[in-house]
Amino acid sequence: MKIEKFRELLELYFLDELDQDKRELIENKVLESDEYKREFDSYQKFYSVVQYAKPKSIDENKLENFRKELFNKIEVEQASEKIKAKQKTFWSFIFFTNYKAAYAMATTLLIGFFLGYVIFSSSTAPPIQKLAENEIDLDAIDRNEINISNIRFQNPFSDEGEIEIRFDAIKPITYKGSLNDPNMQRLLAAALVNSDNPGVRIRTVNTLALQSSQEALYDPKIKSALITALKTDENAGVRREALIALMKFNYDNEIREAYLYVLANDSNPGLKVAAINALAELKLQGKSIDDEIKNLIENELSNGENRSIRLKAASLIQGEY
Amino acid sequence: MQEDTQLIKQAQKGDQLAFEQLVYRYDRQVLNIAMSFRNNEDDAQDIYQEVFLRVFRGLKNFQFKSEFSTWLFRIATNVCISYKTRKERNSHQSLDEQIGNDEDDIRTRSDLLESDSSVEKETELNEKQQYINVALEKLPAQQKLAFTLKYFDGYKIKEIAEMMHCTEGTVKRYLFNASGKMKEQLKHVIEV
Repeated sequence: MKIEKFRELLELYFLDELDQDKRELIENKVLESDEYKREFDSYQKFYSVVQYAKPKSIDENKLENFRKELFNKIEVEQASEKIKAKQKTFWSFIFFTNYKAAYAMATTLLIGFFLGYVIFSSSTAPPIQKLAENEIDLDAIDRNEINISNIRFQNPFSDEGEIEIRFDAIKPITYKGSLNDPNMQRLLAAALVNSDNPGVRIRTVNTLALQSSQEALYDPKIKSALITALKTDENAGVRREALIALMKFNYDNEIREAYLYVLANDSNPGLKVAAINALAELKLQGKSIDDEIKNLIENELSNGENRSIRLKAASLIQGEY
Repeated sequence: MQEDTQLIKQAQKGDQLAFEQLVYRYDRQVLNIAMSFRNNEDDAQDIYQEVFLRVFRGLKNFQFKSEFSTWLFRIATNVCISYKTRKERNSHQSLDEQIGNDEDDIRTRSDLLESDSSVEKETELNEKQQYINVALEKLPAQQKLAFTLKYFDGYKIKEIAEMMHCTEGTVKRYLFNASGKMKEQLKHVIEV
């Protein structure tokens, strides 16, 4: 065997890519020849030196943060895609639906009005335009400050040559206040429980969590909203944030029930791991974990399908007994 | 546990939770690949985010012609390679660029490779790690990726070929060329 071929096989030998026959061939060659033995030793040193540079694995907490950031980015992307889709639907509806004919007629009428205005130099604006301006700021639509949706044509072919449309114009309202403000608390609780947008719900929980040092966080209404989000929100990111925010409250029966619920019912392995982490945190603070929770954790240890959950459960139980 | 296929179909219909479960199932492996390739947590995080954003955007068009994991890891290797190329293009770092900001510790990458005296203060382990990282960084992206996937992550050559969308022979060539260059550059470290 030529030395070049031997070198190739040697590399595969150390990388565990050779079958038994070829491994024996290499080992015999090394025993037979000093030159091959030197190559073998040199490669062995190289292999062991390279292992020094093997990077450390990133720990679970950091990975959890990476996930959180990823899911937030995805929610933001989804929200912006929805807005684009709505705008596209709106304009397609105006320009490319069966109302083409009506639109063409309306345009012709508008041109007629315009020509009439130019010819007779009337100083008064067309009544339909006045009406629209009174009810809604059209420039605000251009600036995306008002969201138009649900457009219905009420009377597309009236005898007077007018068209009537009805639509929902949703205008954002800004409310500013501290977490001590009862209105703000009600708004945040409502946003957490009722908002369709998971991004909004996550941001609401994050806002509550960021204010952890303030007394307002301990308001029972907020705690109740967080528990509802933890138990019922369809988005795992929201549930996880709610659980983390709840860890800042004093541990009581309601929170205990919420952790129990997550351990018993949540389908997301990350949430179960987070619940076990929360219980481990309580243990570090000197609080005891009752039998019902222990049973659930032991059940996860023996029957759980997810390896991370079993590992977490095992480490918690190991510390307990 | 739900099968990948079921979760993918649910995610394709817009089920965010199903997508999250897929992320939970595979993201540790993707992160390990990124970390081995860059040996830097910030870079690994960037790669991680980019991989899963691409997966999220592309999942609608996934047609089950390959395993989901194969498709995912192929995206991961593509992102790794383009990330290195982009970084090199942006930084324009030459081999002789100074390492570190400390004025008392002015060293060059060449010095690190050639001079033992310049790294006296470092521990032996850190010294070796630095030499290896510098040598690794000098490899072309494909060779470096094949090397880190094999030596650090322990994937089989066949798996690496699937991930990098090339033949096993090509992967072997990447590995031989990479280890040849590495041995040359680390000669003084290996011989110590």
